[in-house]
Amino acid sequence: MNLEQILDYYKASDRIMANITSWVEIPPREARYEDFPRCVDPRIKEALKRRGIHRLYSHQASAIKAVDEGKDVVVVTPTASGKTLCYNIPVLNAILKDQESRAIFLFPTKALSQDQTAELHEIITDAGIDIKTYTYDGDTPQSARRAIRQAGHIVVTNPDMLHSGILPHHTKWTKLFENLKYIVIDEIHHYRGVFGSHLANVLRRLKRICDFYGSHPQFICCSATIANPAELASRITAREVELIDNDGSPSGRKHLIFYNPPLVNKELGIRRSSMLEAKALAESLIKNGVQTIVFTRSRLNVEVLVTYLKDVFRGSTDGGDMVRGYRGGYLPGLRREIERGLRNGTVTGVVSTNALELGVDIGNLEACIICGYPGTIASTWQQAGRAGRRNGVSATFLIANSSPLDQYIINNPSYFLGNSPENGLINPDNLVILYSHMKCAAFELPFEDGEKFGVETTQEMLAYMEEARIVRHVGNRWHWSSEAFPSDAISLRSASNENFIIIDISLPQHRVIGEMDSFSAPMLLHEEAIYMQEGQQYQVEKLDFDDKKAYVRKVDVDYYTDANLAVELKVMDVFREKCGEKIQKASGEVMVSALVTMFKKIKLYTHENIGSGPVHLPETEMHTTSYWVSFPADFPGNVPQTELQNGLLGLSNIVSNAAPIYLMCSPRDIRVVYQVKSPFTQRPTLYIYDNFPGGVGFSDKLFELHRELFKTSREMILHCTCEEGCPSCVGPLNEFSEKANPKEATLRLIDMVLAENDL
Amino acid sequence: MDYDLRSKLNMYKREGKEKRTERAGSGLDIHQVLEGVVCSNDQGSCFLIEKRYPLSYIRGGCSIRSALEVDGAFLRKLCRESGPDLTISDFLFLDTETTGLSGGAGTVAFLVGTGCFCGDEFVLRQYFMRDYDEEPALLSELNGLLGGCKGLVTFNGKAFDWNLLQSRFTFNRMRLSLRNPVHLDLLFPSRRIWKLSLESCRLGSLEENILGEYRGDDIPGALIPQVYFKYLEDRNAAPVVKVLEHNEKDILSMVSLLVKIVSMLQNPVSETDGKYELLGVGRIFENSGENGMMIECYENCLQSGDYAVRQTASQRLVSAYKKRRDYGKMVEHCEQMLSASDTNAVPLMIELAKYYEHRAKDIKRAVKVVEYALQKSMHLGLGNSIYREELKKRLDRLKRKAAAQRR
Repeated sequence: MNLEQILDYYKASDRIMANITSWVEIPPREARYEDFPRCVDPRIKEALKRRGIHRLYSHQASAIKAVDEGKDVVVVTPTASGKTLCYNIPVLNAILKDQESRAIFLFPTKALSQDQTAELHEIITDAGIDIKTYTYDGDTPQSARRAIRQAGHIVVTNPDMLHSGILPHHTKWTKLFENLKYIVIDEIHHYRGVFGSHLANVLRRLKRICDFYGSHPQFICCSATIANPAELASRITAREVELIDNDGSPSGRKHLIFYNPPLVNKELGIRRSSMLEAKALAESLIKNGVQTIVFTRSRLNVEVLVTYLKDVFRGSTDGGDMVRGYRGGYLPGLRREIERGLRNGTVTGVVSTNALELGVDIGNLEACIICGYPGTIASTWQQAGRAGRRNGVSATFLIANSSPLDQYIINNPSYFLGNSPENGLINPDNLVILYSHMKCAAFELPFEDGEKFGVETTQEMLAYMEEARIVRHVGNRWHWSSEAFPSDAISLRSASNENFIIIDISLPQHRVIGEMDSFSAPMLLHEEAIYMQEGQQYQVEKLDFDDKKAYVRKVDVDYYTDANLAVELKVMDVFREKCGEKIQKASGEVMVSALVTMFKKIKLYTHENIGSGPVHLPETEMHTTSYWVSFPADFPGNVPQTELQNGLLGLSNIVSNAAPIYLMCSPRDIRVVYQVKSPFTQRPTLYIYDNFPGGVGFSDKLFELHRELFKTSREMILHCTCEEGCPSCVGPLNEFSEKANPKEATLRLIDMVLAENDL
Repeated sequence: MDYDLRSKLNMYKREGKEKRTERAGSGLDIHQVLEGVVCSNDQGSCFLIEKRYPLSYIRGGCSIRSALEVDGAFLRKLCRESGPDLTISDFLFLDTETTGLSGGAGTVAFLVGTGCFCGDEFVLRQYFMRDYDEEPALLSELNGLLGGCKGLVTFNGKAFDWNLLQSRFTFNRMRLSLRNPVHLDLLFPSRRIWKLSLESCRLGSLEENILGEYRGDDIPGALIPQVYFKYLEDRNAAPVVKVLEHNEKDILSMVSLLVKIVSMLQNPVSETDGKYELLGVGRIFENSGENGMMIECYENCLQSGDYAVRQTASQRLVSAYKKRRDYGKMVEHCEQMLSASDTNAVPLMIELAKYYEHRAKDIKRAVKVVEYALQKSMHLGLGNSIYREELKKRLDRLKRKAAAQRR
């Protein structure tokens, strides 16, 4: 059977169709072409023609024209739409016009940069032009670095290297900074939250240095489809950015199939394992010779699924080699071999983590099985983009697991078809992050009196730094005045540099397996806590709070732990506020103090409480941003207090599942607390705060998305098949007091919010 | 309810909690503790301390006059430079003290010490910035001095001092008057010569062990940035004196070290210890392609009482002879070593066997050597076992050849 026949077979099978919540067929789309814009150098045109490219897609032409007009742009394109030409052509053009021109290419990962430069090299070679492109990252040998600094036209690197390896040594890169024409930021939607807030500051530093050397580079950004690509790009680059989204690339017919494994425990909302379903689907596809990629959420799952599938095909003529695993941690040689196998068809099935989500060239496959919602719609599309041939049919199966978010997504395919709800959010002015980069900036070039580094309070902060004796004000400038090399101590991946280190002591050879921010540590790493990583359980044996180290040992138990957190939240400052008739919403700064008092052991699946223990740890404080909604002070009225409490609890649970859809974050990145009578508003209040010191821009967006958030929460509750409440919607029933119907109580609050149209 | 910036920053940063020391006033001004002048130019001003030493001044066991006697052609060779011969007066001795050791655009050289031979004196000039805003003036002064010379003598200056100064010129948008100088970085020959005999080849260690100079209450280099930061804070110049002394000694030691190294290179046999140092000097010649000198050094190493030195020298010699295709010498040397039972070096025996097999076509002799090597390697344990396979193969082949010859 070919793919179309298999799909027909599925459609005819009641057993399979019973699990399919939605089957969307996306019709094929013709390409929209345009001629090469006049500005494109004939040598580039010739080289592209030799590669079979005689015209450009409409979005490529628009991007090239806009860049030629001097605009900063962000190009939004799906996978495999030829986005690299959108930046390669303008950059090569500029260098051909002026040999001295330089460009920086930023990619979020090393693997990605290697693949993208390979393509660039091919064009350069084809065009027979002398343009030097070098990758400059942690792996670049010392001996090569000098030549790159002097002669590299295009420097391909990542934000971390730019931050600690290039900017602090700008005097060695004078050629680059004097002649920098373009900064290319690919996959800009990756730079959100903490990472994006850091990048925005790294770019502030870069621009200062360019000013110093007299260059004024343009930005060319590329993004996957999100709700606010232009907003994100302009927040990151601090420029007005032109949005280019007239995608002209063709595509074949696509089937998007939403698959929900059958319920095995209705009361608890537990479904059959998505892994087993994925195995069955992959097996039938591969058996029929349909080239298939399966994405799983963890490295462990890759191995498990590969083992299952290899067992199935062991007897076949190709041996087990037609099914391969692929993930970070495999050696480069092995990876290349698998990639080749996928391109030339000797590998029929591959099980991968998101390592194969983008960049790496594996050709176009026919079918894609996504085992568990990857966390964002953008990622889902990128993974689905791995299956898709220009002339022919492709299919993507999204298989949900039991988590509330997965369940919501699987029942709401509309999110995939209309405009994306996902916002890439950052907060470049996050004080912790900003301050860190001001140190780096002061190291790189003294601040002038009156100079602004993104914020109005720059001079006040410099005065503070002088008191801390890390800068010195003399003449009209603030000079770096410390022995330290500041960028060494600042990681772009975390909001505070005081993380807890998690050390596995199961084997005599101890090893570090992870890190956790100091605010979450008391909750998740207290002694006796069960810590989960990649599906493996560990028990915390010792928490060295002062030295920020947690010692854990592998265990295999049937429970997880849940710490009782007494959270106190104080409002420090209100940024925005809007009052409706009954409901008020606001965003602002809050101080959160959390004290872990005890923990409970909760049995897996049944959620029974099977034990508890005390926790003695100091209170932790975090200063962050929050959005809050308050209900009328006289709310109870004729409603019992417990119902209000149940409603607020249910609302907390559902909102913390709904918000990540809009914020493009993981549920861990936000926290929700409620106060029956808030000391600040004096009313029943629900707070959602950014779980990062200083905040990363979530709260402000939630203030704007207020109605959508509650509408979605409402739909999530209504769509849930449980009767009164379950972990997939308002939370496990045993958390609620008395004989209540938490679903109803929660819906009542939501309806009250939604009744006010103009909030 | 506003929450002010300062308290927020305090919450995040430990730095804010540090107490600031009191400022200015109490300490001694730089003019009170150092004899120097303020020198001004169009970039501003900085502080200059100038000292003149007579050529009879003794450091490291000899007068600095000896530096003037260094042969120009020899200096050029030492720097591996082509072009006209240089005299020592063409060089500027240079050493900086900086606000940090990590490099990067935020590290500043707050003190630049220089020294040069001028007439019958050695002139030490130390340029000191009393605050960050004096850097342009300092660099401008230094630039004037650099314009008048052709080369530099430093200790680790290639990686650090000169590198940093170049950065500072770029940073201040100033053009260096000395581009691509002849640069004699004494760290490199020092490492070659003393790596085997000294634990550390830092300047301080060389001073003590080679030059016989002891610095009594010298300030450790690692503390220097802090002294400067504190001076900027409280303006008490007294502790800075130690930094200037440290810098001065470094420059003077570079002069003596240069003399020492040159004398070793000119008369390796008489000026070195005859073992490690001589071996090191040999390596320097080997790298600069001066085979005659190299062979002289290595041959003299063979007289050393130290077995390791003899072994190393002997192997270097064999490869040197071989490179020069001086097979007679090579064989003579190898045979000598073998008959004196002074070597266990299997590689040397393999070389000899190769010679007999391929050059002299003396298969019989080659077989003997290989058999001897095999026998030796049996007794030498693991270290030589890697050669055993190779030796066995070689022996097999030789025996086949011998058999073929007999036929």
